[in-house]
Amino acid sequence: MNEITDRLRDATRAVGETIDQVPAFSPAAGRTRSEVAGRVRRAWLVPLAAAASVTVAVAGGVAVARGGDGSPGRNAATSAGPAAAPTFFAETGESGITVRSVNGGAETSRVPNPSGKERFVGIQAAQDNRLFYAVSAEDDCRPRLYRFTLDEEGKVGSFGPLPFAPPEGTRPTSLAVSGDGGKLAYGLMSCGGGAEKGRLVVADTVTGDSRTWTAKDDVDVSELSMTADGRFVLFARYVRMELLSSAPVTDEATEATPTATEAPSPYPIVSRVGEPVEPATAASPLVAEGASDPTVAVSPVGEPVAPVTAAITASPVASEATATAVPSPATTAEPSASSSVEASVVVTEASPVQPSVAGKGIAPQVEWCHLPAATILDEPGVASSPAVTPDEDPVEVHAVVKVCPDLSDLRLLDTGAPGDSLEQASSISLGGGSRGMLGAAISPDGSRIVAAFQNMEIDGKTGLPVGGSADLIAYDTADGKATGVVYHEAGEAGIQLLDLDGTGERVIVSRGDEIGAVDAAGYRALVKTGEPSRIYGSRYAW
Amino acid sequence: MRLFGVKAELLSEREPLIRERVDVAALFADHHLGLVRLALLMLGDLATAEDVVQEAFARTHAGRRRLRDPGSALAYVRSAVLNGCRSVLRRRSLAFRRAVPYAPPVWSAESVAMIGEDRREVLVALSGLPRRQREALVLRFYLDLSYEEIADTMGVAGSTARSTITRGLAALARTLGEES
Repeated sequence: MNEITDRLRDATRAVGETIDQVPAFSPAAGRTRSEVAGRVRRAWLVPLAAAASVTVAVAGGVAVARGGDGSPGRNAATSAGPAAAPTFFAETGESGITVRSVNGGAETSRVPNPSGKERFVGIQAAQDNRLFYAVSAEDDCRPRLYRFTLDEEGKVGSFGPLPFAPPEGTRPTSLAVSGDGGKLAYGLMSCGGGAEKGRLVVADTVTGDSRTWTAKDDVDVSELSMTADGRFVLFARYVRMELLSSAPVTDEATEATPTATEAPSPYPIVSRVGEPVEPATAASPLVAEGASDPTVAVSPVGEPVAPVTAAITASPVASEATATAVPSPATTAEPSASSSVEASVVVTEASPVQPSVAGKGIAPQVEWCHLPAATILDEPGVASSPAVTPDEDPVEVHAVVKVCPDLSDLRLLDTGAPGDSLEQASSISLGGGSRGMLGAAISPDGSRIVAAFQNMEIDGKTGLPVGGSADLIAYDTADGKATGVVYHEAGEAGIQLLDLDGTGERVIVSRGDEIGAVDAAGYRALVKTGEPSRIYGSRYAW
Repeated sequence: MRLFGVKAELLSEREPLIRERVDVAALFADHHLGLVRLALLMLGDLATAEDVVQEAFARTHAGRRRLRDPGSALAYVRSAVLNGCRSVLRRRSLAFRRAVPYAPPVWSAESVAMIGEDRREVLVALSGLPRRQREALVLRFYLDLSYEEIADTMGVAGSTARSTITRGLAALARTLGEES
């Protein structure tokens, strides 16, 4: 054993000696996080990292073999029925595809992975909740698309691969399907590890004909969603990188440091700042004009700059969390920007007047997710958050932990327009910033985009979560303005948007270790995952 | 504004803590190279190692007011680096991120010229160990930390650190034994 330890010492030192100088540090040159979050952070970050970094595929496909002339007729099995409220939802995981009932979460069917080397990595459902598509990843870089249908019992029927597939050597990054299942969209990245320009493909599931849009840069195209007619594809575009830390600091970092008292609150920290809120009713009509699909408990909200416009979701929310008044979604819409693949957090002391410390130039102002730390101060003791009990010692150090994943650049592609450049997709700016999201999707009718945001409060002393909030916000696709709060809940559980249903009225989300549904009635759990750290964005669909 | 009255009180009560703040910049300046080497051992490539340490620095800097005990600061910082390494490794392992390119690890064949084949074998075996074992072995035999320090850094009990190292060494011996 001594020999082993000697060899180990020798080898590790030899590696260490291969470097003898390192670049200088720059305090502001990285995302800032705090290890204070410690354990709590770990529990959170993994799902978030996964959300940001995964994606999967799905798309409408057809099991019908491609005809000799490439134009087989569409038959019943290849086209989804009318949009319907989901009765089932499907998951791709270690054991393949699992289909569960929305009522009770009981497993109704299971499809094992095709082989040990080929695993399902993503799934999507057409609008009828009966026609599903899945995409696999394979060790040899040959992705394949599958299609299956569900009967009224949720049993899988007519399962099989599509006669066409993404190109070899690629890896689908995300998939979306049109309402009738006739079109599928997926992002592509290089499977082998080489740099490759981001690509987005839209394929006709009947003919297999596809059209490809190529970005001019090496970017990832992910978080795809598609309108029911298959014309518009919403996707997130971000620059691929191993770590963000060496990314240049944005201008915001060098801006004058706002003080806590004068800084606008770019994030819904209403529970901490204790601003008066005016409850609004839930289930208000969607503001978006002409929206044909009714929307989930949406409350009208003010202009993005309105400091606080409260809304309450009419929701019996789950257990420890309680629906409370929320600030204007506009404030929610401006959190954080980070192209990091991982959520990051910052912890600041609960000093509302921190600028008197940090602003003295003792150290460069820490910047997190493009927000000066001073703007995300926590205010314990005066919080309206139910999770912060009033009798807590006000001197307790609390921290605000926010999720800052990398959905920083949302784009909308009009597939009806000519051209093959992905750059022609228009940039979508949600209420002044689409940053810090945990998932976004376009509604089937294309009128709105729903995005998830969250923040979290941590007791700086114990490291335990004491509160926070999660929001699903609807935006008008046309102008990016927030049209309503689909759902808000206070509490430490974050919500990640996984998929919209065919009607656009329901959102399947992950929340802590649960997969849940958000609709006009609020949130309800569908199933416990038992492993909060393993939720990938495109692993669930309905 | 009652709120601000409360805030003012909070600050005054917290001032002593602020004064005890650890000088994070100095801490990193002293240990920067060592931390990068540690990250390099965990990750295999220098660029990412530097990124991780830089990030750990920024993170620690952000939370510097939380660092009240200068004595534990280094362990804290090492933990930050290890956590950063874990994040990178986890990211690399995600199915959809396998394609993310990164430089060949120091234990790849290309590095033989630099460190020699025998050392490379050891590093390959080390890199094949479970994460915790790898971390524990590097902390023990590269940084020469005590079991207690290792336990602090890894956030585990001292006995766990000890047994992890034992298991790691046994696994390493097995692997290297099989090869030779």
